[in-house]
Amino acid sequence: MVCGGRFQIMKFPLGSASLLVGAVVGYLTGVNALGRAGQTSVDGKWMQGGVNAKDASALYAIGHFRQEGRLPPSHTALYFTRTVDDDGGALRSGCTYELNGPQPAARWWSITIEPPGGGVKTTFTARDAVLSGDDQFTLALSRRASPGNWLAVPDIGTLQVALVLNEPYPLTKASTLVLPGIKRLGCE
Amino acid sequence: MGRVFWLMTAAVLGFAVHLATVLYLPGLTFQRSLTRATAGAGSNHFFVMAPEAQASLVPMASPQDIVGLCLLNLSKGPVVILAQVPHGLWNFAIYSASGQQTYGINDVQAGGGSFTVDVSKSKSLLQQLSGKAAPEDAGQIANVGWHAEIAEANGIALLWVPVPDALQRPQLEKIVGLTRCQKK
Repeated sequence: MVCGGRFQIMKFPLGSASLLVGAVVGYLTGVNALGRAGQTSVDGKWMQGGVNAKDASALYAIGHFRQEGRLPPSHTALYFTRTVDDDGGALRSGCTYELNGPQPAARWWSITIEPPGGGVKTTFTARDAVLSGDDQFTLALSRRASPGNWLAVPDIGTLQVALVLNEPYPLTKASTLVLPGIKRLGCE
Repeated sequence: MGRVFWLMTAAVLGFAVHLATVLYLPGLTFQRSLTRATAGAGSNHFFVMAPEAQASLVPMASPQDIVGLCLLNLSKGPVVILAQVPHGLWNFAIYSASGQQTYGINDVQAGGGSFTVDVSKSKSLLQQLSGKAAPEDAGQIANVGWHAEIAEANGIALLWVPVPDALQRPQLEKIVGLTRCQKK
């Protein structure tokens, strides 16, 4: 009688616990999959965001952007994000950085600073750029004004830099897409 | 036997919750963001977005750009977009309600000035198999110019125009603001 009672008591928790674990695991794997989808590492630092409709994981990639309350990037744009400097340190609003690399090869481009996941942002676009004429482009990322190309960094703690190439020029066999580096110059 | 049953049930439940998380949660978040960004604008009505709202909704847009938007509702029939665009770079895209870009056109393809896009709901598999051509098919499409189809009854039409000089913004905004989005 006692044994039968114990068996009955243990049977119920096993079912409830299994269902609870199943639901939690299902939710966590869903959130994790959405967080990682739609992003591909380009060089270990820049991540390319986008949706390839032919890809089997397109549903997750679309969900990634919708989860952030945004539309997926247009098919005619390349969208890159980065949260670390060249040394692998997290980008912070208290530091000054120099973004340097080839002049963005697109009909229109923009560089944006925002908190990871979106929020208050400041943007530097093709129309703001002063180019040196040697196909190189340098942009200071800092809270303090800087001579030359300068993008003001809002006081938001950790940063994410987004580079958008709208209608990039087609790459030839000899050319590859080279994304700019971000070098930390100092911190306050 | 009891353990196997509960493990199987837990696996099925886990899969169902995973699917619900991936399919429905992003849609709810996006709908909240869209409602906030469009400030409750009605469907089939084109308007130029506020700079901060456009930057939060459209990854490729900055607050300096001009973004016009129309929330498409095809439940009562096709919608026609009579777009007015400046000369120079611009991009027009249509997204389905589920967030998939189904159509895109730019200045290289359509030039500057104006263009028209006829948007309708694509036929279901059953309608395609029945093979009956609706009167609004080929003949009328040719008269319109551009034609886009989306699988769902709702969608988003987006017109993006970068502003090369801040002084040009009022003029460019005025041109883009002449765009119309209405039931056909």
